[in-house]
Amino acid sequence: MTADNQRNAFYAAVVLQILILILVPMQQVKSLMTGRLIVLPVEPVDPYSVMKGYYVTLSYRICRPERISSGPLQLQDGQPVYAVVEEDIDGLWKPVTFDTKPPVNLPAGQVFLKGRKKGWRGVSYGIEEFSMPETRRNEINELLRKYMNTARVNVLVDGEGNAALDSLVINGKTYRW
Amino acid sequence: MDDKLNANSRFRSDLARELPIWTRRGVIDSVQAGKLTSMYELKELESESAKLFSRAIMAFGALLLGGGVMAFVAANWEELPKLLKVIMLFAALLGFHGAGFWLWQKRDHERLGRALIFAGCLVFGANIGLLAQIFNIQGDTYRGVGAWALGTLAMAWAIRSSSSALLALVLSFIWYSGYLGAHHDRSASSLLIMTFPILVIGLFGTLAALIPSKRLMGSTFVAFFISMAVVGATGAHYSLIPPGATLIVAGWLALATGRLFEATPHTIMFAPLSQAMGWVVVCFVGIIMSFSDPWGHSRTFDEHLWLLPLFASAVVGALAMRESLIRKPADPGEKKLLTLLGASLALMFAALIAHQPVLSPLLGNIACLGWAMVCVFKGLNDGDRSAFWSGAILVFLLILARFFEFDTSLMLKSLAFLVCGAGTIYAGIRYEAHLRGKGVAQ
Repeated sequence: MTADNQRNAFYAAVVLQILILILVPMQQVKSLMTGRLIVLPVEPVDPYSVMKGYYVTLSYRICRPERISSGPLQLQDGQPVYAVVEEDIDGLWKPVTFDTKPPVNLPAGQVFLKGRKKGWRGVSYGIEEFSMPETRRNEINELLRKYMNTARVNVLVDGEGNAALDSLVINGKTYRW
Repeated sequence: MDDKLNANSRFRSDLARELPIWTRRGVIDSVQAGKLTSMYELKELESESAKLFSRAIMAFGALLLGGGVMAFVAANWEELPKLLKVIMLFAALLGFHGAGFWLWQKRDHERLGRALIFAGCLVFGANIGLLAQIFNIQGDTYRGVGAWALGTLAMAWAIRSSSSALLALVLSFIWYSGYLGAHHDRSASSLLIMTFPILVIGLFGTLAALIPSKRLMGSTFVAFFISMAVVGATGAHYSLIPPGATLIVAGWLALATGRLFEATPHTIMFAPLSQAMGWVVVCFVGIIMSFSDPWGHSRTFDEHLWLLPLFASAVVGALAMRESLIRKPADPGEKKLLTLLGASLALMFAALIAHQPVLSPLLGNIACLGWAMVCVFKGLNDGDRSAFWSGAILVFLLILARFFEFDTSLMLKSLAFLVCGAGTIYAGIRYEAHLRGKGVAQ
């Protein structure tokens, strides 16, 4: 291999690594920059499995379509699910309907999120884990246990239903890292 | 012949210490000593060591500085805006790679430069994790590991680095395991699972031959064998046929490529490794097949996708063997060995096809004896001790296995041990006498 070829190959490898690093958060960056802000109430989760290392596990009503009468009850593992949500009078967004195909011609006040059935955990929309610094984990854990019923998340959703978790709100205080 | 001088500092220091002694003892005169001193730049040694010391001090200082910056960033990481965090991650990656390449290409510090680029590949992996953390990306960890493997493999190819390639190989395997675990429904993902062994041997094996690196070649073969076994096991459903067949063909590929390595001057270093690994795998399968118990529990299979890597490996092995025979035609002795080898492989496949508890182990035993004969004849023909002893060990293993498989008395087992022990000693004495007769060195 000549020196020129080696240099070009090295540059190409570095460019590939940079491209991979750009692609990793691309979906989330797009949703955060162009998405519509919705506020979802956090559902209580098993208090012993809230904290998992450096992230907190969250759940929402939209994760359990079977609990909502209009939702499809028979979902295969890995099957795509589209949850349509709309804003309630209290400013929180609640599920309206679920479908296995992307909804079309939604009214202006409604937004859909794209998810996937993930075994016993229900439907995952990619917003069920919230990263946090190690130094704050005990504090957040305590707050979540105390104020679980009033905890909310700010989520940005793009036109294709891709959701990105922006921040966690506990007892009126916004946490974002 | 390469007439490049040995510029190694240790050699030059030793030479500088020895020269006055040689001159005093009259081995060389002062003019010759002077020539050697100037040729090896021995007078520069002192200033070089001073420079090296100052460089080491500077490197230590730079490490402390870097550590300080990292600790400062870590302490304030939470408070930094997302964009700044991302910029810092990219800067760290480019810093390691850039500094490494500059030191290697412009300052002629190849080892240090390559080490920094390898560290850059580790930083690349850490960056994937940190980006996932910054943007709250959730999902299967194996996907991130797969992305890490891809970027690291590209770098390994670009700079022909065995360390980066080994890292990429390990990461690829973690990705493969995660992928297998996450895709219980094989229909959509089967093709990727089934082509993985071929990708491993193609991407990592070729790179190992280009570098050239024995440890990478050995690791590649290990990864290839394991993934072929996994491929067979996924299609098995409690049947011995798919894992048995995939492993026999994997061993065949290693043996055939070993023959090709032997026939090609610049890859001859890989030949013993490749042949030994192929031999061990085929013998391992042969010994399992020689027992009757596994056949009693083996069922039929209904999945056929594992035949894809099996046929691909068999064809690649056949092409490698054909090419090796064109490059280095076999002499009459080797022709006999290759025929015996082919017959033993065919017997193993016949045992798999028969798939019943009486005929199959019988064929397995005959195939193993055929393998042992290949090795013993190779040892006798080429004066290759390791081949001879491998064959002898295989024969004794087969004898002992049969004694332990069937319910024989302790006296008979003891007799088997005694006969095998005496046989080993006798075979050793006869073999060494045979080698002495051929004039092979002890």
